[in-house]
Amino acid sequence: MSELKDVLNSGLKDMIFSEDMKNKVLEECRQSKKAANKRRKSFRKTMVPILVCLALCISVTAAAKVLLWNDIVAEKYGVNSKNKVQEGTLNDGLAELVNVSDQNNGITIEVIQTVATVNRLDIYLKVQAKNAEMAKQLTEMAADVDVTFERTKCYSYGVAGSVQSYTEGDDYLIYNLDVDIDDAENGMDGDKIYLKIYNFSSVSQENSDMVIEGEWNLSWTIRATDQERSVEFNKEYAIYGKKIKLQKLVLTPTTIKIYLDQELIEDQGIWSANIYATQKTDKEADDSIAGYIDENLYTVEWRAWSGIPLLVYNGWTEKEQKDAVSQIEDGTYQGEYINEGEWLQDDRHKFVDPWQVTDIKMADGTSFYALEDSFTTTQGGIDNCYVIHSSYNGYLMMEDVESIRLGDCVIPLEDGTEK
Amino acid sequence: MGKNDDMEEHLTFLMNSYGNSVLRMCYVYLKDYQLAEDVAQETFIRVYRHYGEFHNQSSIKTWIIQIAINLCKNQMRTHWWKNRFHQEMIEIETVECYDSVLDRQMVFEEISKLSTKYREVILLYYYQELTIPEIAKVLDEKESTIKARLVRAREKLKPELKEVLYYE
Repeated sequence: MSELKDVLNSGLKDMIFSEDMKNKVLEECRQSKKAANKRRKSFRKTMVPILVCLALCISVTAAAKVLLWNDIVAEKYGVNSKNKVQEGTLNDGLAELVNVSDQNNGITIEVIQTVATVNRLDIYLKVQAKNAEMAKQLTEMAADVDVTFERTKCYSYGVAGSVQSYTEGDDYLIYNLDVDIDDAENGMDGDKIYLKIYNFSSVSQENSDMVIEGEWNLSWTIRATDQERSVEFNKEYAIYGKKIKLQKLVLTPTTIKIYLDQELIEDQGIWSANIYATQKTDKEADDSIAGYIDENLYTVEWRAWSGIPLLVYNGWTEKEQKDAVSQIEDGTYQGEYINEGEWLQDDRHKFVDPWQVTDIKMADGTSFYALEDSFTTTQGGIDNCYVIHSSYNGYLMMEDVESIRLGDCVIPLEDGTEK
Repeated sequence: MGKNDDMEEHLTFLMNSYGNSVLRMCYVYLKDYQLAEDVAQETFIRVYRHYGEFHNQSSIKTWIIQIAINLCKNQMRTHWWKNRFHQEMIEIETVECYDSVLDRQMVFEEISKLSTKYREVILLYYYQELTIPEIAKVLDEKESTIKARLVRAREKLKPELKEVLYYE
């Protein structure tokens, strides 16, 4: 037994839970404590006027909540009858209850809710199984999904799904699909969507042969909000000493897109940056929290798997890249190279997975941390920009965002021009 | 010292004690260094937030590992994780003086090739040195299931590895 432990240890000995990681954890915990305290105070402060409002129009508000938000989804987005988010989503198309379903092979799939902004469509499905045993199996399975619209384009790889809610013993689960929109020029609102779900197969390799065949076709007309805050910059900033040029920033209630000049980034190689969206100071805050600024934290980083600096990598053919990797492996490579282990330790040149957002913090009454189902994508070649596209589960009060922080660089939105 | 300071001090102690093994375990789970780093950090953030709910029904180590594994599984359930390109495995240096019966790189690779449910019992039993009842609690499975998976995991590893996988 000790030999196997030795083998595992020797293979992993370079992996250390560093002081930097510990500090990040501690900082995160402190911030979460502050945010929790602030939310309690904000709740007390706003409760009276909202209760008055509710007393006057409670039947309308209650009905609106039932119409627009499924309870489970509402909880995920921090929506309740007492906060501004609920008011903000009334009749604006962001969240819509949908009632279409299809049944096949003992499974009924129903679209219960959509949350749609300019850049992203979240679809919440209720997957009703034959029985509790099948429902439990389904939690270890994923289905293939085809999404098309009549006019809107979406990323073909952007349909990711995950189990949103499941309780052991239940015969159903709530499933979430999120669709990244490629071309939202005309907006999704009013467009027709065709969703084809088929063949659940196991994602846990122990029962890898398990398949539940079937095809479920669902179609409905999308309601989407066009809420968006677009700020143009065309300004240069420095992050950890690296120059970047921010072209523009686009916020929606569930996404943030950051457009950076691609040429500058590529010239300087790959780097890592933490992105923070800083909340405005609440002017009406009482004395105990006056001047307090809370932050949304997004972490966006880029990854490469070879350790070869991008400056060297650019312009190589696929064969040249493969040859270089082979040479590195057999120790004959003569060019500039950084060992992967050293590369991972170097904060200035860290390549990490671009497909993730690690954390978000809000200070306005909603809160979410390191959302398991959120992710970040990066894509180059869009109008000569690298676009960092973060999608998250929650509701961003866009108008309250005061600045964005990239790494060690704070970019006030007032630096740009609102569009 | 305030209550918050006590908790931070305790959290630091836990990270010092278990941080490396959690990070390494996450890596073998997810086969992705950066994800492993993020999940490991999130594990301790969750420990901080939910410490009040820990009622000594298991050891603190078991509880932390349980959180880490659940977070790893959350990652693995996402469609994009299923389809993404996996980072190359870190090479293990061969130590000349090591017992020639074992090829460390081969052992590591064979373990990493195992499906999740087999890999995790191997990790928890041999690397984290948890007992069968502890593993059953972490994975929320019956003890008989854990034992069966250990048997199957050993069968799936190459015959020359079986010599080191004695069962206590």
